[in-house]
Amino acid sequence: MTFRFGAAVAVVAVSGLLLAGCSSADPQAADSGKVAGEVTLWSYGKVQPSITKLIEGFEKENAGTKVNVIEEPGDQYFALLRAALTSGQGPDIFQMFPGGYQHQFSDYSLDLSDHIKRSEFEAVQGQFFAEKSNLDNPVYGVPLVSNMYYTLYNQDILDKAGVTSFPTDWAGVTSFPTDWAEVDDACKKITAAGFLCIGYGSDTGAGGFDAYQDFSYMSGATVGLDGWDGLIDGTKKYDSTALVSQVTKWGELRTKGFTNPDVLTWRDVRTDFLAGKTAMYMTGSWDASWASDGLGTAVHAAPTPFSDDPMDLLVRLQDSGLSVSKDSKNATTAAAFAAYSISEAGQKIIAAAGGVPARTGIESDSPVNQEILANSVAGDWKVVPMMDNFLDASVTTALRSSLNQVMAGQLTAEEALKKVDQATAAVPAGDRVTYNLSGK
Amino acid sequence: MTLDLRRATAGPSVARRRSRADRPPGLHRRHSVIRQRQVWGRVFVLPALVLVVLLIILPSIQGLYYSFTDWNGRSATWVGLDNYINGIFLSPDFGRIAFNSLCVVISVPFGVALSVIVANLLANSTWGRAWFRGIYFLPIALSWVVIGITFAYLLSGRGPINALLDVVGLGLLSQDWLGGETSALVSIILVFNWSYFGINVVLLFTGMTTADQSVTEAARLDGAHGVKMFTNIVIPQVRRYIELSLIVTMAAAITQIFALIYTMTSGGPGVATTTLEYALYTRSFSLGHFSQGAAFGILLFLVSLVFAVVRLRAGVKADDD
Repeated sequence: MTFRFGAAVAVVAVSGLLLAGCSSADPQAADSGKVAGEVTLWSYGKVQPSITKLIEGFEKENAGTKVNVIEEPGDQYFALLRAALTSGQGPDIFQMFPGGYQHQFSDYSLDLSDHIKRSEFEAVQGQFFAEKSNLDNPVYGVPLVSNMYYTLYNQDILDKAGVTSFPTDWAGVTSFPTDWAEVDDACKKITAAGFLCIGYGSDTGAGGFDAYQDFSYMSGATVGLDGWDGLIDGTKKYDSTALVSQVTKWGELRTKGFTNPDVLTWRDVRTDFLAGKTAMYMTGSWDASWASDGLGTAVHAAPTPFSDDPMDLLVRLQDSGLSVSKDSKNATTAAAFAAYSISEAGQKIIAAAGGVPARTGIESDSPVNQEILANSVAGDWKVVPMMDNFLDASVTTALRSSLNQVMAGQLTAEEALKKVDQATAAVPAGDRVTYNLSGK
Repeated sequence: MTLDLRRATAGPSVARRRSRADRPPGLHRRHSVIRQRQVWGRVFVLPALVLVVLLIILPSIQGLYYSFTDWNGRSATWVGLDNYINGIFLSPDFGRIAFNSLCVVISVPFGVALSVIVANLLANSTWGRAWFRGIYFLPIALSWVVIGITFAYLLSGRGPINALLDVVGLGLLSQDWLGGETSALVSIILVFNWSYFGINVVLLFTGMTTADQSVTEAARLDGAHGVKMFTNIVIPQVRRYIELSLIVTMAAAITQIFALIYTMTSGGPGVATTTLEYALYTRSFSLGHFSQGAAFGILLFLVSLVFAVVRLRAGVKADDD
């Protein structure tokens, strides 16, 4: 009888433990509700050197605090973040991007206007992290940098291929193509010299590439911010003659042999660019240090030249920011880190690490980034934001995958853009956001 | 001596009316033991029951409820059948997604048929039997992620499979296997069936080697051999095993192929390799439409149920015949 009683107690105890395990309650953490000095930050992909330096600076200035970084894979970042935040197991701080990305996560993000002065948000043009892009409303994040989409060029390859004749007047650079005709001319020479002109692919060998970067330039040059407002709210169609024409020319890059054939799955795009085998690589300002480290002074950046007329746009946006979880057990420290990251001290650290600071008046230490910024001022280029930031996630997904299929020769430009129109039409009314990018 | 049947039959009724105290001590103890066993049985089953209710039944009911709402992970508003009608059936990609899922499921009988043939070859030959069995079983020891990553590399445009085709003079066939709409789907289907091939071979081999050999011997004496022996004697004997293989593999085709797609193609190009299961994931976690994901989950459950019921009823019918 004693044994049976013991067995019964054991069964009940084990059940209790199992159930307790399911609830994953940590009494210390649950009870605290106080600043414990330690916060967790989720990084979008591999943590940028600028963020590592920023954390060092914050911890030094605030003794007793600790910021633990967890690197989450970029291609699944939002899925993982959503799952973590929904289950209440999310990080205290997470990397976030303005516009539509932020909008999706505003339910989970702390209103930082209660923790950071308005003047600080204004100094970094933080309105794209605010509800309806207005700093009078709750602000759900802060931008760390002012990122750009652009094309990196290996000048050595351009020189070897004899691409030197374009009539550009950009300071320090003389030979980058600026429109479709010049792209054709340059790529013919580059491929004839035995190099790959433009590389596309996927680091993981699956999932394709971020074609919306290319589309930001193509559509920005064709329909402008007015057109973007219409595309975003669905009053204008993607499958217009003008956009179909641009996307068709873009897709022809592959059929003309100017890109690698396996555009959706090639894993070595980046390594081949650094190895001096590929002349052009579509990326952004976050890769400037990586490219400079590999190619030294041979690497330069210029606006992506996918336009009928010489490209005079620079796609640039206060970007790659930080948000604080509403469920953070240590919101004060987390918000303090966000505030530090946009302070003058924090922004100088970002500049020194090669990033383009979001705060006006602080220059980047990256020669590649500084050069293109100087050229944009000298050339009086129009600055437009990154279009994908202002699309619903379902539209961004449709745009990305449809354009990937155009480049792979599986869809015509018209079919692809029709799919994007369908995705735009399917966005529920409650999820539609008007950004008024044109300011009209 | 005359046997009084009335008295004899009256006996038990008297016994039934006997009080507890009058019962023989052995019978009383036996009843007590049975009762105690029943009580303890319930006590030991209780934790499992609680876990099943908490972790399976309640979440399933919750999922069903959320599929009729617009749920953002925090709050839910009732939208009726909108997630099913607009979110799934009227979605422009649904046709292709359903087609992909159907292709994967339809491929299963072919994969199992191949397993039956190989298991039969193994059962009828003694040479290298253990060695081959080990080789066939190997994939089951690998995780889906390892299999997916390995095949993504092997099938990449510049991977070993294309290199091999070039070497043997079949360079014309080489292509970006995971970059084409049809080739990517075919690749996923082949890799999935390869992954289940081993366990099906071992299962069917076990069925064949444990079947009643006298039936086979009798058939052989009656002159049966070759294909006739295989179709009329061997297959009926292992029919239960074949059914099990089909059910297990089909269930996996419907609900466990996610990791393979995730690692090999991410559902692309476009939605060329997106199945119902993968769509559940993308709708929920990539796009944040949890309710549509829940609706896909319910649809997936119903599809699995239909396949399982059809398969089981076919088995029962075969038993009746």
